[in-house]
Amino acid sequence: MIEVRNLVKRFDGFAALDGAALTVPTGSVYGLVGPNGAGKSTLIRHVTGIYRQDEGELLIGGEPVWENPALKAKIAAIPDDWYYFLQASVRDMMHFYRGFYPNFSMERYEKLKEVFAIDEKRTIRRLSKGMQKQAAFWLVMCCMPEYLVLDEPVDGLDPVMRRQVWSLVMSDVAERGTTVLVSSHNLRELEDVCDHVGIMDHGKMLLERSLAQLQDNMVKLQVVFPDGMDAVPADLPVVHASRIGRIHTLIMRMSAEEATRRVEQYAPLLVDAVPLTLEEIFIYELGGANYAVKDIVL
Amino acid sequence: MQSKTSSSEPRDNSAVQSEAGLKKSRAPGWFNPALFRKNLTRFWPLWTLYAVIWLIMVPLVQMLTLTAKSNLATASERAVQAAETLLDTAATGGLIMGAAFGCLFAMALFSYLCSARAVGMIHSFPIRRDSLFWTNYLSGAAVFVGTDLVTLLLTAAIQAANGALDWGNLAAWFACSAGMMLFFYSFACFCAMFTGQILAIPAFYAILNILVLGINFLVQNLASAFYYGYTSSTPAWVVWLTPAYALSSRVSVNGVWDQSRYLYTRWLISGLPVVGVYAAAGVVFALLALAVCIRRRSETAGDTVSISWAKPIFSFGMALCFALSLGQGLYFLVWQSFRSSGDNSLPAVVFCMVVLGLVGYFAAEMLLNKSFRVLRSHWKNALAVTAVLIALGVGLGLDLTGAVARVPAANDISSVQMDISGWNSFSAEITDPALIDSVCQAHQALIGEKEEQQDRGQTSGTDYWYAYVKLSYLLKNGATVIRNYNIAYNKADLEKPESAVSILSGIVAAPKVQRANLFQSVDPKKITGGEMGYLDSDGSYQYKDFGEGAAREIYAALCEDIDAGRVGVSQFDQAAWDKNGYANNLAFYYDSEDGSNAGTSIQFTDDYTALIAALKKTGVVTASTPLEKQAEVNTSADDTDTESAVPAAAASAASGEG
Repeated sequence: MIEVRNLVKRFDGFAALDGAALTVPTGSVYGLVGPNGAGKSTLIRHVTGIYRQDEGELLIGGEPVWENPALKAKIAAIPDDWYYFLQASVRDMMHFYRGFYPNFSMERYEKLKEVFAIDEKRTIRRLSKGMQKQAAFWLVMCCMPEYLVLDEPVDGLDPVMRRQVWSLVMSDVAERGTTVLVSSHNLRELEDVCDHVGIMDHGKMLLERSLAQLQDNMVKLQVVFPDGMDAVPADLPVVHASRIGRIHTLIMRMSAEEATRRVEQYAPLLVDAVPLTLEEIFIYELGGANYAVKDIVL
Repeated sequence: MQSKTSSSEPRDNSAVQSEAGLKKSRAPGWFNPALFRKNLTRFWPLWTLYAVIWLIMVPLVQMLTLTAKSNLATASERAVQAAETLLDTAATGGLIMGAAFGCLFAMALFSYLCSARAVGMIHSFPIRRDSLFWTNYLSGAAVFVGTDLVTLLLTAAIQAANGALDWGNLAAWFACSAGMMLFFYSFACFCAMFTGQILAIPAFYAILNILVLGINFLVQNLASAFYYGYTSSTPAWVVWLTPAYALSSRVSVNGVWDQSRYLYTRWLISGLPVVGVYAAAGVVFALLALAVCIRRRSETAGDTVSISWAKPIFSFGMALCFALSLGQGLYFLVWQSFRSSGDNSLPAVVFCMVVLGLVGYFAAEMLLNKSFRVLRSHWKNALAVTAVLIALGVGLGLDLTGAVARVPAANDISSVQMDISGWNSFSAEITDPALIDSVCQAHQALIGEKEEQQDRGQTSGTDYWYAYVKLSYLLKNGATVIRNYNIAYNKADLEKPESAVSILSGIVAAPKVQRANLFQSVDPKKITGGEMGYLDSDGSYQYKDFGEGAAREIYAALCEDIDAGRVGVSQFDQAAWDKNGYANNLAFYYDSEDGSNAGTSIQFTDDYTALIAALKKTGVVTASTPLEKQAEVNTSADDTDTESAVPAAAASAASGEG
């Protein structure tokens, strides 16, 4: 489990993290989202032991990560701008990673060679951005991490390779119980892989829930009211309502059953509960403009 | 919307991961072999360059020296030559190589600290900061120690093949080159810990290497411009804190001269203990660098100064350096051009220092903040800089340190080196307590005459005689105090017993002082001969040599004059010297301590009665090698000019040219 409590980090007086808190359950895939400058990368750099917090606590598996090589051997990370040595090939970097990570698997390295189809002897800087990202995944997955920390992991990857990479990650989660913390702007992509999400802004965690909790707590109904009822009844607790023709789309903060029951009091011609996308949940859950939601959705 | 994971509940993954955990963890200790190997392979051009230079400078040059068909006839001569070359390479080459490559090594190995991407990767790895530091540090150390060892063994093989194997000199070379490299490399690593800019590493390294000497020079230069009698000096601690200067001045190669064979038979390197001290300091710097490295924050990659407590030191230090260097430079360049010599303006120099000090301060803040917009946010500190520099100027003007009036207590003085130059020079080391007491009195009198001397200094013409007096005190605690004075005096001053020049005149005439002045390095037993200069009948200056016996007799007579107090009485009396001084120059030859020939020459006057008698008695002075007064020579020269002018004028008149 990754536990972050009241984490504060200041850069020249500016609080990049201002009491951030986070709990990533073991074996879960946790999506960290937020607008630019929210503090996601800073938080991730704390989780990977690069930065040392000014205040607060950061525990992974109950241990502090700072200067804890035994724990860090279980953590592998892909930052948004992965570093490699100027003249290094994937094979060179493999030797380097292998020297640090005791569980580095050569068997997996050989297997993934076929998946990524990159010439391992070619200088990495000669590879395209997407191929460099693949190389990063290749090496990091071979570290056999218990904790995988990904910052904008699939930027630059083509759709096929995105699917391939997520498939690898998810199989590790399923087979080895790997805990994944992933930061991304792409809510649609996170929706497919995450079981927990947290949204950050101004160095704080604004919301942190499991995806199931979010979905249980909010519903989208498509309703056709009887003739003569043009407006949505005022006593319905609607978060958001829109209308196309005679079909009203209502967002309500309650379970689907409860919402359906309340709408049925007005004898609608049609009631249909539709699942909300992650994007819609964030928009309506956070109340819209105050949290600059437009910045976190593609 | 479904998660790919089957459940959002935290699962117990210990069983799954135990498989991975079964692998024996190669948990990084204080050293990481993978990083070490990567360092060796990644920076190979640098390591190769270092090795190639040493291999050319030492084994190749040794081979050429030992085998070349040069003018050195014998193998032993070539071996001595090779030894000199080897040790010179250690003293000079070791210093240059250490200073240059020490910095380059540190730049290469700690360059990752200057890139946010690199530091992000390295610091996310399962390795502690101290292990990272030691692995990187030892990578560089292994390269230079390994290279030096290979060079040593190769050179030994070449020497052995030519029958000139000298393990002592080889060990000295290794100790010197590796010791210097250890210091400079460690110091550069220490500097690298304070910055996140790769180019700032050599800048900090170079500046800190000469900072103390530079600041000392600038402060003393400022003080000597405004403090009466103050002169700049370089205390020993300043030299110690300027490593390159200390090593270059204290590590040297000396030959053992064989006078009979007229060649050097051996070469020795001196100053190895100094190298040892700096090597030990290198270890301390490495430990300090480690301490800074552990506390250094990863996010400071790219910052000019990475350590927060060092930032104000950088800003205010840069302000001070700008004020002292460029401020003084501006003053002397611009302001001084419009003033007469010696007339310094304290307000002007303070103004220049404040202006350049502020420039330095804001430049430093711009570098730290990576922004030009620092004026508004740092004006309070700028005021502090201004106040400090003005206070420095006021303190200088009021002599708050007491430097002007400071005369060391006679009891605290171990010796005084008194140097007088002008129309008649004098130099002697005084150790006699009574004479030291007199020197202190003279010094006190010189300070008391400050106003008068400054007034006289503004007067030009022939009213005064001028002399430059330098007093260098060596105190019993090892410290030195040096003062110098340009004094203008006249006959009346010489006759006043309490005047500085009168007291100095008395000191100069003391037998012990004159012996020190004339024969500071002469052992009478080693006198081998001498010569006397004279004007021959044609008026040209000639020399007459005399042998060891005559030289010893003349020397004894001179000592008799000294003991009788007849030598030095006219040191400050230019009129008496002009009237009674001889144009003849007398020189003694003697063997110096290193076996080479040396000589010392003296001028003399009528007062040197015993000397003149001895010169005549020994036949040095004869009718053909006469003594001639300087005044007579000058008059004769004037007459000759007049005589040559008169016929020309007569001829001109006779020819009607008017």
